[in-house]
Amino acid sequence: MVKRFLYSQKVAPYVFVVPFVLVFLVFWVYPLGSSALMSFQKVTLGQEAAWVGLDNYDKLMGDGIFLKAVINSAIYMILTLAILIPFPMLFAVLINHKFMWAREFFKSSFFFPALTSVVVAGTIFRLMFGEMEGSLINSVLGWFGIEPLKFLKGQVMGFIALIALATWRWTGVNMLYFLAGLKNIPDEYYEAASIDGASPFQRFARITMPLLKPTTIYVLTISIYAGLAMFIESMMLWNGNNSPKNIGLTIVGYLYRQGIEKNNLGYAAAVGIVLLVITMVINLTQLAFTGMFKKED
Amino acid sequence: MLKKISISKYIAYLYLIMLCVIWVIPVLFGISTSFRSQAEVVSTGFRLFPVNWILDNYVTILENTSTAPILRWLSNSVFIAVMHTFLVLVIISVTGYGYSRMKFKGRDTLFFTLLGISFFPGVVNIIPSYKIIDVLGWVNTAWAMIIPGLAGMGNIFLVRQFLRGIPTELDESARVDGAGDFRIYFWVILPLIKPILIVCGLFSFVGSWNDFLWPVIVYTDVDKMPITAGLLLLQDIYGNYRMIGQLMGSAMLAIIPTLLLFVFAQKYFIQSINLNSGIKG
Repeated sequence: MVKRFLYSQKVAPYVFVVPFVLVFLVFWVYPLGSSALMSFQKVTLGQEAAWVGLDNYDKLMGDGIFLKAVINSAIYMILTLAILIPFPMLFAVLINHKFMWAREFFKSSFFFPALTSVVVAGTIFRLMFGEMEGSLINSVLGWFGIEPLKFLKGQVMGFIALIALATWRWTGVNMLYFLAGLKNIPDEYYEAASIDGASPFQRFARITMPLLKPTTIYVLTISIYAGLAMFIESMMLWNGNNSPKNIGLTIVGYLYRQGIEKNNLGYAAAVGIVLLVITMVINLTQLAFTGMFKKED
Repeated sequence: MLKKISISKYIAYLYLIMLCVIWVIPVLFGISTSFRSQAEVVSTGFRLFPVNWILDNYVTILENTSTAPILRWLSNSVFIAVMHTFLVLVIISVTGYGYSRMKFKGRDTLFFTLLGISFFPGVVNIIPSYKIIDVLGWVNTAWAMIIPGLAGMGNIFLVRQFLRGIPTELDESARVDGAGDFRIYFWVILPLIKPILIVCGLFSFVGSWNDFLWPVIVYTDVDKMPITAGLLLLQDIYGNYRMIGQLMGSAMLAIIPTLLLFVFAQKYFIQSINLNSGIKG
């Protein structure tokens, strides 16, 4: 009887689809809704939540430290976009060239850092960028007669270390996305262009770039999310969430500080919702601007 | 003309090889540091290889089973990552089948609604998710890391795309022979989607192994935590710059499993990475 019920054409689809929907509702939709609700409340663990309307958002708008976090996250995002789109694209084009040998070797070398966790990569980079004379980067600078630098004490130097870490971990991943995109461009286009006398640069600008557009937009979209939501890289480099003068504080770092460290859950939820709104606005604008919505349907 | 190609080719090679060397240096630096004494790390500058190779750092790490039981953490991580990967594969293949092969009202609307909702940055959910785990009594248990991650849509999207590229003739002929959906799923579809499941499985394993922020929040019990949360504890135990060799040694032990996986499954990692594949940061 139960078997016949499960096997009937009407019920079977739900047996396949419902388990995931349940998991999704409990561990994704509910937390999201709960965050939105909490952002209008004053919530402290172990106490009754109190409705405070827009107070949290009001306070956030005048919160200088939050502003600092937003600026840091935005700068980080812009720098990662400026590096992690053009360079991986260039490497992909080089590796994809038909005269290229040892492609697998190059792909693997660039890709494997993505498999290290941020804790491991962060530990390594913190020591590489250590302030002692003997740290890797300072030793190398020493060969050129440059005095040892205190990388993690200054705003600009700190960001150099952060960007170096991001570049190391993500170049290979983005490069593989571009390589997958390049595979879809037929060789005939390049051959035809060569016959017409197009220079390598013209071929890149007129064939490769336009045909890689969907890949580029995809990489851009996920990089905007990842850039604005960065936190643990900073946490690892500064060995905790408290960098000097908040030079490494990000939006999610502030969420963590308010929610986990200060038990100020409602305020933290408001930080999260603001992050969500910022990322959605930037990405939707970007997608509308690049004409992605028109193309989909 | 031919000459011009070969010169630019050599420049490209030189450039790429130089970069690959730079790319490998951080890990070589980590390995080398893990075999050097603290005195040597502090006194001599950067060298690719230690002056004196020592195993003391690893001995200290492995002998410390009270405040930092690293083998315990590694085995916790293995259990969590294997269980998580297995359940991911079950749920994405079943759900992918549902959304591509079964016919029910509002199927695609439901799918794209879920996909749209899933695009929000998940970190916003971290505090309410902790509360749910607390209510379920999963704090400090492996379930806290095995189950919530199953709510990802990225891999389901991939399986669905993959299945849409496979003609339905095979499952239709099985249906004519009297097979029901469960049999078609298990005997026809599962073997067909093996390539995409391998890729999703590998990335799920690595994602689970490397997950960091969430375990730091849900584990306070030293014996229960996975390796990533453990490594954060070590930052205090082995100090910021006091026991650099030990810190590096622990970090190196933590990446051995993922690097081994990479060595054996390299082609799946670097060839089949596809648009929208769900890699976790």
